[in-house]
Amino acid sequence: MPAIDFDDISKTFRHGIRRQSALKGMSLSIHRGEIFGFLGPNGAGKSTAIKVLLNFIRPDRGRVCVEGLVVGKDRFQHHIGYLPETPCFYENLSGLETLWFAGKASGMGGQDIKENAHQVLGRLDLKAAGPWPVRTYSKGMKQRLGLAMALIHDPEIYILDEPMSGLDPLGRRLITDVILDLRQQGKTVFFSSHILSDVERLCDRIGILNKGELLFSGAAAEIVQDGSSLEDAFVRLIEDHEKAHGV
Amino acid sequence: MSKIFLIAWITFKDSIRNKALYGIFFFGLVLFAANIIITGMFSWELGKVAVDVGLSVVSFAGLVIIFFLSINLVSNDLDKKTIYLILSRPVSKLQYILGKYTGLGLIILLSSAVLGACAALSVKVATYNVKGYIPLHFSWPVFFLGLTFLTLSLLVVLAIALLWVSLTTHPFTAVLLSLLSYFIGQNVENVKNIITTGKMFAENPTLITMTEYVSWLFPNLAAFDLKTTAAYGLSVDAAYLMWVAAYGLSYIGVCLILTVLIFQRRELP
Repeated sequence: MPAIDFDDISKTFRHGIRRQSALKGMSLSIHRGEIFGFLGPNGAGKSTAIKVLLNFIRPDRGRVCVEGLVVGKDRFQHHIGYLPETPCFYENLSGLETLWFAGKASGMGGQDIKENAHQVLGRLDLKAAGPWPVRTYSKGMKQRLGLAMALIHDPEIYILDEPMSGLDPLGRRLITDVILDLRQQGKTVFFSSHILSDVERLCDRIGILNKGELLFSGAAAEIVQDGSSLEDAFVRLIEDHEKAHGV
Repeated sequence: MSKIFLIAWITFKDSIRNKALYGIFFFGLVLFAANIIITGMFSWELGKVAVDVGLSVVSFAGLVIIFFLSINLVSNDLDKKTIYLILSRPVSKLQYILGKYTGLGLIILLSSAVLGACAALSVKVATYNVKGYIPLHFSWPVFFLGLTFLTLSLLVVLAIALLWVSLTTHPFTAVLLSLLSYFIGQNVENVKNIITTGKMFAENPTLITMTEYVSWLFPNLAAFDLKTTAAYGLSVDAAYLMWVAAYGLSYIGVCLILTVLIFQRRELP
């Protein structure tokens, strides 16, 4: 059984009288214990796929399963940790209070929350900032607090939407190390990113999406030709797809 | 149930540290000082004026909290996607809405308690040396009963405001519709009486039917207004008050059920 299974997902958004297709029959399976990189240009449908996966929006067709549980029908959220692209918090709460809320909402006990919060804040270099109100945090600190919220309850599956966006090189290194740690622990990580070098380094498999269609799914080595980089392969695949569709 | 209280707790804690709330409280305190000055300008019925102004300030501050703080806080959850961090956990939309209402309701209760105490103090100070101008039967229990029903009316308005937030996509629209509902609710009983009993509209059955529907749809907020009763210390009919309380709680219940039903269908793109 795959950790995450998208089965023939289609989603259309309405803009006034115009309808725009964001996902066109996307099928994709993420295996347990793998790090899967979800790539695509802006507007490809990556975030839409993640929102369908998290039950924030309903697909027009198809279904998504997490650990065999049907999204929109079964309770699956206790299996996942989620980091949005630009995490927003209750700005007047402190980092520690935010983590306490995240732990409680995930069904953790007070003592476990205390221990895990201490450990996670230390891991993400936020220990000193724990008691500060979130409104005093920098963008990078907020991104790391968002990741701390995803980590606090130690779930099996991590869904990270652009986890490196807006981070300085040190912040990127920190997040990269956390993802590598998760791989060692046998966790499943499904993340979208524009930074192809990170994806190439971290991922067991990748998926490339363009205009709502999944163009490729497999190991990065399968798409990279001799001497070229993942970036070259990615650009070539997108251009071929757009030419084929007369864009 | 514990998830509802969890959402209520973070809502209350985030709101109580909001600087806008302190601004509203400060403004309320200034108005109480003004109450003492305003009352001093009257040469008769000082007690009635002091009670009227005092309770009006509590009501005004509560409405400002609902229209400009509560609606904004819930809309921000949707606009800035703070809600993603809540609903990506084992928390249902039902628990989210009930938690938000409870948290914001606690802020209203706190505001009524603090400003109500200040209102009582301002009434006491304004009428300190003018015993002759205080209505004969004025009683503090009736004053606090008036404050309680005023708070219940604010909780009704809060439930309507949450309903509008769930129906609209922009906080400004939600504020406008909530304000409109409030003004209709304040005047619906009077307008209904004029239209249904007056001879002027007797030949316009459509208007009479429409007024009947509007009076069922919008809350009769005037029913919660006990300012005159409190100011004159008039006797209160316990059965009537029980009905008003049951009406208010039922109205809140219906609004919250509708909000949850709408919110469960709403997508969060």
